[in-house]
Amino acid sequence: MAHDAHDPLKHPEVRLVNGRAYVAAFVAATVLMTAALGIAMHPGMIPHAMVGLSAVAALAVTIQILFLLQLDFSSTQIWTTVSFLLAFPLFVIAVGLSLWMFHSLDARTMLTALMH
Amino acid sequence: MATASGDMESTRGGLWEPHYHHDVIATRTLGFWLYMLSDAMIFAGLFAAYGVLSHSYNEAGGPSLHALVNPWSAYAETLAVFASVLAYGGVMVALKRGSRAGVLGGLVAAFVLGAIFVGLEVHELGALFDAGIYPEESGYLSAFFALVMTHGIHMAFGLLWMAVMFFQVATQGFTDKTVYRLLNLKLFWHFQAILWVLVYTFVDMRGVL
Amino acid sequence: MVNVQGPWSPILGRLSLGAIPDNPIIAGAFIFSVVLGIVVLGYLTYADRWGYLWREWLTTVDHKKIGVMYIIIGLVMLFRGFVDALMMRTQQVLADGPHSPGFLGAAHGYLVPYHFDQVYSAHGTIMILFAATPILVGLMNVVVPLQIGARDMAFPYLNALGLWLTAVGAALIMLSLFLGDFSHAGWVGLTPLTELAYSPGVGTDYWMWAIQISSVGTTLGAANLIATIVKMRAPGMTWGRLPIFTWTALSTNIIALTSFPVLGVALGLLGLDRYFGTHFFTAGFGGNLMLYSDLFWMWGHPEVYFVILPAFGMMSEIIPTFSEKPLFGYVTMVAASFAIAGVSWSVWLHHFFTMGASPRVNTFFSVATMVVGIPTGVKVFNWAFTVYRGRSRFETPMLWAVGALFMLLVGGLTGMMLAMPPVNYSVHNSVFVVAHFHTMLMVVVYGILGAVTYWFPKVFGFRLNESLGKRFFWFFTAGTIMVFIPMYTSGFMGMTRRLDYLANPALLPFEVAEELGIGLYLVSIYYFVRQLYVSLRDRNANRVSADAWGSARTLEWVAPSPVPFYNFAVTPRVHARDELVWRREQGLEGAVPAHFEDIPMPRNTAVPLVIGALALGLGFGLVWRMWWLTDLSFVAIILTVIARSFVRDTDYVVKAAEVERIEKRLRQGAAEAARNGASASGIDVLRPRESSP
Repeated sequence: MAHDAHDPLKHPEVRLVNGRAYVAAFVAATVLMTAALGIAMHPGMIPHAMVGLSAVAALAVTIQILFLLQLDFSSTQIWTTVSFLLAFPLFVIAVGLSLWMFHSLDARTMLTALMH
Repeated sequence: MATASGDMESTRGGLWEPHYHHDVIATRTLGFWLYMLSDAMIFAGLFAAYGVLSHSYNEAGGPSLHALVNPWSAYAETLAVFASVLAYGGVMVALKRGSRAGVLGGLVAAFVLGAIFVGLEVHELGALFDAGIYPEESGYLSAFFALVMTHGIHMAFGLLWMAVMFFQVATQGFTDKTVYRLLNLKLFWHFQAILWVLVYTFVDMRGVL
Repeated sequence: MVNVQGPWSPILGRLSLGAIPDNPIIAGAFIFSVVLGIVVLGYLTYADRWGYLWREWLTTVDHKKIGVMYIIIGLVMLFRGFVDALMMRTQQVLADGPHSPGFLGAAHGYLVPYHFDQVYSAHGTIMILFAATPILVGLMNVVVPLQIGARDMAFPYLNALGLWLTAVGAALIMLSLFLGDFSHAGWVGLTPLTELAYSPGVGTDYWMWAIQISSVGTTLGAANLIATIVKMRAPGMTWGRLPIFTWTALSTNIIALTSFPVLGVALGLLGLDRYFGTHFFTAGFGGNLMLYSDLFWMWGHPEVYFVILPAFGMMSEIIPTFSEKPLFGYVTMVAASFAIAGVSWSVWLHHFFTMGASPRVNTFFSVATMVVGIPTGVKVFNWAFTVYRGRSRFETPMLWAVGALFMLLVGGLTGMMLAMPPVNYSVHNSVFVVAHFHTMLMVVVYGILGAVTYWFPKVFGFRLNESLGKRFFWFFTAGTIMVFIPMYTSGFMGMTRRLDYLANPALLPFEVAEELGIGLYLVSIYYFVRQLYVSLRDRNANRVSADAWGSARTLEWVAPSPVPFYNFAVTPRVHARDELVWRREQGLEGAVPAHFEDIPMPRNTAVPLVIGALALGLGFGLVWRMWWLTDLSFVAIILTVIARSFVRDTDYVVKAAEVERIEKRLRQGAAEAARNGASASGIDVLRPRESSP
């Protein structure tokens, strides 16, 4: 456990760093978020604005995960990637199923007719 | 019986593995990454709460999302976060080169840009308070402030961490401990940027729509 | 910040002399605690054990000692939870029908409704979060590093921190007995009853912060265990050779890591409601009280599998050992564990089918719930086939494991019934549901008691008394049957849960039977305590060698018993799934390393204990709204964490000569044990910690 003799800067996770990937991620994410702003300010631009926004967000998140966190299946990153792949569905399930069950619940149990 | 193990060592590679060490840095970063995934589930809970509480009757007669968001301020915050992440990329590149000055400079840049983000957010929320819009007003506003402020508090903790790292790198240089902490801070900071994309899209931009 | 009713002062917050309850039962409990405390403190001072306690236990980072402390906390809380159960059963047997007598100011029975409500809330909270969870975490702590051939956990310091945060939660609950009161809203914390308007006292705050603080500890512990299993395995310990208990520990900690934060959100938002006046779960002002149920059970259901999966793992270790056969269907067992863990994330609505979600939603969650039966069934058949044509020996751990199997059968089948929404609607909130989940939790309790007996000799070097253990088992099982079969029946007859008074006298026979069952439990506890006492007294006659059961299979039994603080003198190389069996077959089961080497080990530290103490201050300050204490503790915690990060000298080296000396002594002890001779005092080997920094 005591690694005094070796150089921490030689560690594969340090060697993994790639300056160009950072610049690429910055440019791509900024462009995408600008596009999101455009869609939001001019919703007539594309047919389903919310779907478009979600797609832009998903793309930006994917780019950041690939370029910033550098998730891949190399021996350095395999467990980072595997744990992410196991946890990500839970994030979606937690939000998605909650919205689904309440979406129908509201219509069935709230006095929606009085609210409109 | 000790001789039996001696024989085995010559024939089969042995029953024991002398001088076996674990990779400290990789263990540390995995452990922290697991913590970040756990942290993400906090946001999953908050997004679920926000989604459930964003129906019109959750507003209880109070202001709706549209009245809360300022697209240009949100956009400026986005740029600040992304630029801060880019500056932290500079920290990592300098670390790879072994340049202590580069790491320190990058940390300062990332800190300043992150502080700009936090400042913009404080200003934005302050404007809402000035307008008499408080989390206590409705279920919807409670969820809105909880989500946005949780992200903001994470960013503020990141800044504190950067300040500590600046001091440690300046005084201790690159040891196992400082290097894995810089790698962990990278995970933390990049993760906040990813979460910000979600907040920006599904709270701010949705409000503009 | 909302104003609370009643007096408040800047120094003491809401705390005043009036917070001390004037109830004879609580006064009795208080006197009992004080006497016990004086005896323990007096013994420590008299025997001059304070230094030992500080050096060897309070500041330790050794995963085995941390595990043992987790288990001790869990057993103490298990007893407290049992006393709550005893009180509830007694109340229900006394308060039956309009002519039932009343004592101690109660109209019926001896507990006023508000007190009864606190008792069942405390019972549930304690049993799930402060008994089952710590004991399981403790067992995983002890066993997992040994099973994978590691010297300690990946993060020993974090491990100690998790322990002390759990201890803080338990301490807050115990404090609530004597200072203020406890939540009366059920262990789930039913909204909007937990809102400030309906629960203006400190009870809900105690409940909320006890869980919140301890669950931070559990989350950190989960990250630690996963990192340990992924990164700290000995050479040759491939995924295909990982012992099943470690597999279940991995799956269960994936659940803990991802679900506990959601509980944190549920309680955190409730806290915002109570302290800042927000409207997440209020009735009115746009709050949604079912959102709380949603978030709570999003954690709550995975938590159920968090407690049961390690129990499955324990059964999977015990049954092959005492059947002297390899586990049947290793791969399907692993797959089943992960299938259960995965599906656990899409069944949580079945805790509130009656909420009124659409039939489509209910159907989805109903089917998902039933799907859980498939991997569980796979497991049951695997265990059955493991026993089939084995050389079964019914020693105490095996009795518990087989008992767990029967509990699983009953609990699983009634679970299938409850998974159907039409059935669920009719028995919702009845004691049928209570009986169902108690039977399921009995699987956990049986697994735990089996596992404690099974791994006890590994840690302490001697076996627990067999005949008293068997008496413990049989009385416990008789108690379980006597309590829960009448409970299923009265549930079907329509008895709802959480009743401090039963209007229908026809239920009386069932209540009497359950009370008798509680008496049987009481007898079993006597035998458990006696078992511990007799085993400790006769420990020198019961010393064991590395393989305590003569037919153990996995890697942890290769290490000496009791395990020295560094676990393995030299990291073992793993050749097979059942490494000890492989070595036995090669005639190498007693093989020891020929050469020793320096071992780097983590240094003891008091920082986790300090952070624990500060967290106790934080929790206490929040409960009583002493803002100075809260702010001070919070800032101090952050500063302590930062200060600790500047400590560079966190490890030390045990010299090879020292290792050799310890190993030699252990082997002598084992040889003497084999000759049934006397004392190489085993637990001493756990002692020399920082002899050569």
